[in-house]
Amino acid sequence: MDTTYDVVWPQSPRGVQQRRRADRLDTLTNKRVAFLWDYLFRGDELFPVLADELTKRFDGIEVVGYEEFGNLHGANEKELLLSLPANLRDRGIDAVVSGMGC
Amino acid sequence: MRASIAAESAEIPSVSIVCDGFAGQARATARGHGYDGLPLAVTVGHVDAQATGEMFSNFLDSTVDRIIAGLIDDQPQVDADNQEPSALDVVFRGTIDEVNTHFVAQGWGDGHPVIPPTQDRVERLLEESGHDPWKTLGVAPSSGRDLTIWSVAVNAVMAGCRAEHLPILIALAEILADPAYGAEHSGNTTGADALIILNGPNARALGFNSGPGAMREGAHANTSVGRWLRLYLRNVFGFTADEHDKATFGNPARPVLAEDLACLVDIGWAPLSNDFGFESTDDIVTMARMNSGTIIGSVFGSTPDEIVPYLANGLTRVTAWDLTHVYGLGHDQFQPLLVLSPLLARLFARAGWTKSDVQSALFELARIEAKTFECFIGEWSNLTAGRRTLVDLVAEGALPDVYAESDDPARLVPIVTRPERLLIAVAGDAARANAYAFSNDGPHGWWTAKKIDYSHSSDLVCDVGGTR
Repeated sequence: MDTTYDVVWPQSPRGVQQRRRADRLDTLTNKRVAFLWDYLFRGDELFPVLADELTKRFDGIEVVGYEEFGNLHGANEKELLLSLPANLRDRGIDAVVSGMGC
Repeated sequence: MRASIAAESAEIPSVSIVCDGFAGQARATARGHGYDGLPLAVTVGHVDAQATGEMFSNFLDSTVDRIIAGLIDDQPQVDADNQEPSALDVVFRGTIDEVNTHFVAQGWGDGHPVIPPTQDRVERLLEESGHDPWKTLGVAPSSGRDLTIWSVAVNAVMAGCRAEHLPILIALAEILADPAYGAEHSGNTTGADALIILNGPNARALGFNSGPGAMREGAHANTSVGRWLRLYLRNVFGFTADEHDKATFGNPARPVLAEDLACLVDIGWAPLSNDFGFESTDDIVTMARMNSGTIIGSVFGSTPDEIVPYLANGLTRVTAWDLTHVYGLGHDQFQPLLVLSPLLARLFARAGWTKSDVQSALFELARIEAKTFECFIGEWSNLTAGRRTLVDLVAEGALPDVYAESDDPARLVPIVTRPERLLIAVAGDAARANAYAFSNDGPHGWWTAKKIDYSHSSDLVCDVGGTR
């Protein structure tokens, strides 16, 4: 008869606690929306299209371009991400569109 | 995704634009940061493979609505999986065949048979070390899982490691926990895999092979420690195809590359670990993720001047889109590795050349046309935004002057910013005239070295089997 083995779990508990995501907005009208880009996968072509489309659909919307926040996947990624929450708050940003993950 | 997570942490709603092939990794990344179920706006297909008009049409027809919905539709919060086992729970009971079948089905294996990780076996691996099994070395930046000594040991048992390997594995886990290494990028689509390099006086005593077949499976120490890394990245960091691993191809787990210390001492060259600030007498493990490798075969010549051109050519042949780590995805973080056989290293040393001399000579010859460099990072890969020329980047202060000695597109420019960026190691068959060139993946698995502490740990002795 073959030996049997009682084996333990090869993974590890998640040290990160579940967090509550931010409340969604009622509308994008009169809101300030930031674009964040990793400088990859044609974001420089798509974000301008998105800005035009959002402006058409929502009165008073203000888009803050990705240029204002730098390359969030480049050599300074860690520093930029660390300062991003304060940066967004300081600029009065109401919502964020982030790309491009491919 | 990490940018969206930063926004959510500031209580600002976000939506992430992702291609459909990336959605699983995006969800897993959010979960690993405690934000299960963040909104995604998934594009139709992969944008890089679409004509511009087709891409715009797809984007306007479907993605824009998803972006808006992600910001204003208040979907219910998603609860994370909180039904997971505890570390000491028995997750399966069965024969060795049944255990292996179960582990493959759960995604816990690497395709090879594993040693069943029983509690008794894990404890035996730990008992001589004095380590507290519940000590946490950090948190996996991809999965959010704790890097406990216990989890290191469980995967060590599975990989077939011995107790004496544990200090090396702990040092490797410390590298993975180091933000400078960037372990969260270990599943990027280009599929680089890590190369572990071992230095120090204890390597040989532990049975690491630095001679013939230095990078081939066979030597137990080299193979099992290399395998442990693959298992640990799967099981604790979540680099499986359904979560964080988006490698298009990938590579088999690489056995550890142990440098030939005896040769280095004999010729008076410092080991690789000196490049990272350590002494030659220190036991050090160094790791970086490698994109490509090529054998520089049958290096012919009896003087440095005769063999340097071929070695430099090998470095240029292994270098392509990775140049975006000179500027783009990285910044001055392209740092390829040339592994010389002891015979070739001795040839240089006999002529009085130091490693620094070799680096300087390679720097002068490992060059490609500026136009080709610009194509690799721009036109052909789209990895460095803006299509700026090397001359533009020098003018901006992003690159050193050597990249703009003229504006001739056919001028030769170096593949790295300075000679020290060309790393050199010595290993392999002492009687063969071959070399191996590797290109690294910049900040996505950046060169990181840690000291290995082989001494008995003074951690508090714990009651394994007690509270966890």
